[in-house]
Amino acid sequence: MRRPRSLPTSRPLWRNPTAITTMLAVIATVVLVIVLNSHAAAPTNPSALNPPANPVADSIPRQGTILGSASAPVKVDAWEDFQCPGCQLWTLQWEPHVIQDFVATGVVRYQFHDYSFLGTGHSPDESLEAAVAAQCANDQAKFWPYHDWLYANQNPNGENQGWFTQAKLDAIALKVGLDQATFDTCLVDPAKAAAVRAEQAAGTAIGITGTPTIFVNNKLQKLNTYADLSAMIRSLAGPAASPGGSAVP
Amino acid sequence: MSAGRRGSATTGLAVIGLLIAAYLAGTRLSGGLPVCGPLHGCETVALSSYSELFGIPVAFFGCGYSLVLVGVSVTWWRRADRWALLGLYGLGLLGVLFVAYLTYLELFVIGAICVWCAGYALTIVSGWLIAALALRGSSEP
Repeated sequence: MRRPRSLPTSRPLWRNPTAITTMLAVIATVVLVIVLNSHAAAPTNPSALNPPANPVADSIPRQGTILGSASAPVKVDAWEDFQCPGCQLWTLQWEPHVIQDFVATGVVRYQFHDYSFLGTGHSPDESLEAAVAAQCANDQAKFWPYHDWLYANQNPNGENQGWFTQAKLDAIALKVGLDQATFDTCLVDPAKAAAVRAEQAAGTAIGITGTPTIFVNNKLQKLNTYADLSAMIRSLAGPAASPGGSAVP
Repeated sequence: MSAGRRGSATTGLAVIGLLIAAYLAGTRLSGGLPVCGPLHGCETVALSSYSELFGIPVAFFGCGYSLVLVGVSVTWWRRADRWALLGLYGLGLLGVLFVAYLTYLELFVIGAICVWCAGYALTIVSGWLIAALALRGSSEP
């Protein structure tokens, strides 16, 4: 025989512990979500990425890894490794001035080249992976922002310490606004790594042994100050280079 | 499923959740990033600004929450205390709604899914469902 089902008690809602618990849980969640949402706007995460202090301005004409006009009288080629501290120094302290003083004015056509040698023999090869990541960003027309973010987030404690992990490269891709799925597929494309290695080989063939190596009109330069570099560019550009420029040590 | 078995199930789930939260908190403390395997989305999530609340990593809150959940679940399991079951249901619901919000953030704001967070969410949702079913099957206190 089936037991007769007891009729639901006509208990008011506020005396029903389950109903009260449900409401309390919902209210607590809403409060939590509002608080989290209002605080998430300001990133305080210590492992969060540093934004580039001096990114290449959007107004600078570009094509892939090249900045400036194709008809510029002076050609500057920078051979770099994203793990190299000297390259970071060049990128943060010299490059913005070259861009501001000469690329923006149509005097210099500035090109970035991969010479990813610092990670050679290490697993993973962080120099190669960072370079591949930048080339993958290039596929999505974001080489320069990606380049800026890589240097802004270089390991301050040295090379080959597992710093440029895929996680970090992905996080930068996210910051730069790349399509994540396309980017991730590209990262593991052996053709990209081969292209970076080929460029390094081309660099070795023209006498590069370290980074950064700067060529001005196809001549390797040993420059100590930005004043030397800007004087050289001016002399090569002739009347095309307007006097003036920014102060750099 | 008996109340005892349900209690052991919610306790087991809460312990798994606690282990996941502890792992995420541990990687954060060591300054590293969680290991993701081929689904590298958790690093992106861990690097996002949503991974902190008042400057404290969300994983730490997860640890505290899971610790309380384990305690309440064990109380219900060992003592068949109905108030503990009610607490488990309420805490579980809070957890379910909150991980739903975090999953929404992952999918639509951060644009990456963290497998550890998804696993954690699964333990919370399953635990809450068990508690809700147990509560439905028992009389009001």
